[in-house]
Amino acid sequence: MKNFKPLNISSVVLTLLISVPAIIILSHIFLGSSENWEHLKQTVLGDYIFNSLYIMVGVAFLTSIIGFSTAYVTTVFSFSFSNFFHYALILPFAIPTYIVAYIYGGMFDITGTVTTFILNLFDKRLDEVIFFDIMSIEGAIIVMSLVLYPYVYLISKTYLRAESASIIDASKTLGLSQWQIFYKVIIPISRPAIVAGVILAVMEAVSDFGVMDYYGVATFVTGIFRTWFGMGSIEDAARLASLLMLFIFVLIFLEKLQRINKQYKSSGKDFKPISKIKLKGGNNILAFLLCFIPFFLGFLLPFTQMSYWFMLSYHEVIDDSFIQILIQTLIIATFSAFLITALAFIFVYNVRLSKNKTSDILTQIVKLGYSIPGAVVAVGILSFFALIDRYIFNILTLNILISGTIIALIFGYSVRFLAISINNYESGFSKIPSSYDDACKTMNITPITTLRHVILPLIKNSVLASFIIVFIEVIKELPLTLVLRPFNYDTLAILSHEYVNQSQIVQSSVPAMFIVGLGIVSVLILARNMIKD
Amino acid sequence: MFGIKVNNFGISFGNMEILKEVSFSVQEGEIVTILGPSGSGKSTILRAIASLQEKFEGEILLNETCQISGNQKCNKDIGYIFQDYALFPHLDVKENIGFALFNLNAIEKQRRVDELLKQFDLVEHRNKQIHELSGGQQQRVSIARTIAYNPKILLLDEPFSNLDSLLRDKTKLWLKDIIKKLGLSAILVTHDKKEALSISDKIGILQNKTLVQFGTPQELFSQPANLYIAKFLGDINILPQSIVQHFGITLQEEQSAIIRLNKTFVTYHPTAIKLHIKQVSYCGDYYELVLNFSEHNTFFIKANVSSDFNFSDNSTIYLDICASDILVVNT
Repeated sequence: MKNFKPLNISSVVLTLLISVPAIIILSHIFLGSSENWEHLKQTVLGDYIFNSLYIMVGVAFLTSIIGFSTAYVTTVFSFSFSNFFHYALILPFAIPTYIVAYIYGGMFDITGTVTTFILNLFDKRLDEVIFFDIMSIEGAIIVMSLVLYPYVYLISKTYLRAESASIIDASKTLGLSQWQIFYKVIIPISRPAIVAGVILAVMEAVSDFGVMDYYGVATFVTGIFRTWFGMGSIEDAARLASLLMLFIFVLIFLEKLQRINKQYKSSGKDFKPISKIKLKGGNNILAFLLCFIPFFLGFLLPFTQMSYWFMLSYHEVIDDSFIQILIQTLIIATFSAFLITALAFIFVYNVRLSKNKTSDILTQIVKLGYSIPGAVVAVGILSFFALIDRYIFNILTLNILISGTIIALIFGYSVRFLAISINNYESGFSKIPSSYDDACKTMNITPITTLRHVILPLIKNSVLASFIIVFIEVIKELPLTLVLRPFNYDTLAILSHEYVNQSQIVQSSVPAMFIVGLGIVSVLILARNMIKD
Repeated sequence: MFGIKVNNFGISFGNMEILKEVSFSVQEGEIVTILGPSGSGKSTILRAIASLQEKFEGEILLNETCQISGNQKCNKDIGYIFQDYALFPHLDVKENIGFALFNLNAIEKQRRVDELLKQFDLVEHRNKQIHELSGGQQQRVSIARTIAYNPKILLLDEPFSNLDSLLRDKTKLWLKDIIKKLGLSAILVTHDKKEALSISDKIGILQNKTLVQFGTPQELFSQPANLYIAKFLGDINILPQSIVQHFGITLQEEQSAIIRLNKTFVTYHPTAIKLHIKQVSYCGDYYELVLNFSEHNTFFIKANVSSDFNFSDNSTIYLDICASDILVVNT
């Protein structure tokens, strides 16, 4: 089995293919200056850098506070609805950030439903009150944080559950109060988990297109779109993308460094569950509110508003063309999920069988794709396919173009979402001891029979989970689809975005509702895994 | 004849040498145990014999003709029992046992599985899932699955490590009986000296990356090649020079005189070796004593004491050992 060459060869070829867009983008760092680039440098590049950094700091600050405080409270205390919040607090993951941004915009901007309601209620005009404009960089930071805090919540909670029981007990015997335990012991030992969660949230925020585009915030990603569509320069868009990629790689490096230095592990060998403290009276209400507010603002409020708008407008939005877009979305998501799940299996099974560093490195390279923003992947793929069209097909005198085809789009999804599928498999395979493969080998069972009769039956849940999660991610993906889709090929995400661009925010809730409905399925799978673990 | 010959076997992982120049042989019907501490490379030898380990030095010959390497398929006569049993959780007991019988037709397969279920006392568990079985039952399924395709040589990797001590003793005898009844050759690796001594026809002991002694349990116990093996195989006392010279034994440099705990007694009947008690600890089967032989000669010993002996009445005792029980070994 060790020399199962087809898997080795496939992994190498696929890694090369999937890395090409990133390599093309990175190569733009070394390109000489152009007129457009000089113009960008003198005018907007400073804003892109400042705004991206401002968003990073803001999102880091808010997600760490919301994510960690809710993780701590639900892990250590028992209070009204604490079991409900245990899972409910991850629900904001179900709604794509851009959809929450559209809804909040529709509710809280100058003409928003909530703004108008409050002004009418108190019989005031806008210039007579202190008004916080949600359509600003600060608004974007708040909206992003409300959706992205579950990264910090999930990682901190897992860490606290595994590590803190004996530490809390020891602190109590040393006479520390509950508050002292929190800030003198729990916060310092949880720092690596908080930072890991924050880095993931920040990476997502800095890669975002939908929120920033709608709120009119100039960041690297919106800059890539403007440079390309506005200035018509894919070269300079790629150059911007290369800077953003460097930015992201620094964050990935920091996250890896953080994991290496994660040394605050308890000395206890066995998992010891935390005996939760039951809260009463004022503390019970405080804990409830601490969890309810992020759940309300991150999920319940936008979901309720979206449902209301959906009820108002579904009859006018759902028509034949909507059904066609829905079918189109489901078809491309199904096909992409099928392909990505199959490709991911090749990588992970190759690592398992070959047990060498090379195959592991190949998998790690491919997994980097998820951290590259969709807009950057899209620019990389366009540049790559343009090269193929221009040189290879031209030389072969083939009168075809693959840029702007469904192939480019599926390739883009593969670059971006292979990591999700691989992560799913890795967690599934980690539960299958390698002695199963060895046992088959000593019984002279062929690799194919081992795969069919042992591995696949044991890994089938991971295959299914991987398929569903990738399927949903494809449906949610906006910037990559926006750039790489064939002409006039719409998906639900594109339709929602287009309604918003035409200021038809109510109508945008219809495709958004379908996306969120599927997003909830994804979160339920996540919750199921939490229960299992 | 189905035996195994391991000649100058060696293996390294990266720059780390794990084993070197390991040689031993297993005759048909013999049970051989490779004994060594955790991490000494015992399982690596088994994995190499089963073709699960590539790139090793030396040669492994099966049946005197078939040379095993990671790529060759002369392991159809080898069965491997894994430490974690490696039973497939999605299959029930009968499906696990019949898993390797892919070259039999359905009726033959059914007959063979039934035969094994009966032989291994698993008939009532035939439809159970693996997680419904006890550790001992799981081990029986694992052995039945391996025996199913009639291997001639059985490789057992720490087969009793997941069993509690009562079940371990019972299973040890049962397994030895099965191996002997079926006329198999077997190699077992363990770090448990009692297991090794009780089940094996021959034992090889790993020390410093190589096999330092290979022989019958009795040979190893009575003539250990060095102090490490003597200690490894049982409780011993190292006797100081001042004691052993009473028996006319002269120790060379890098030699030690030892005596097994079961041959070491103290008594209040005077013998040639009079000792003063400095400290006593009761340890159930024996006592730990710190003794003064002369004013400046203190030594530690574990000893058996007759039940009527009362330490509180006696500050003087006598060492009661025979010269023939003292072994001189290399340190």
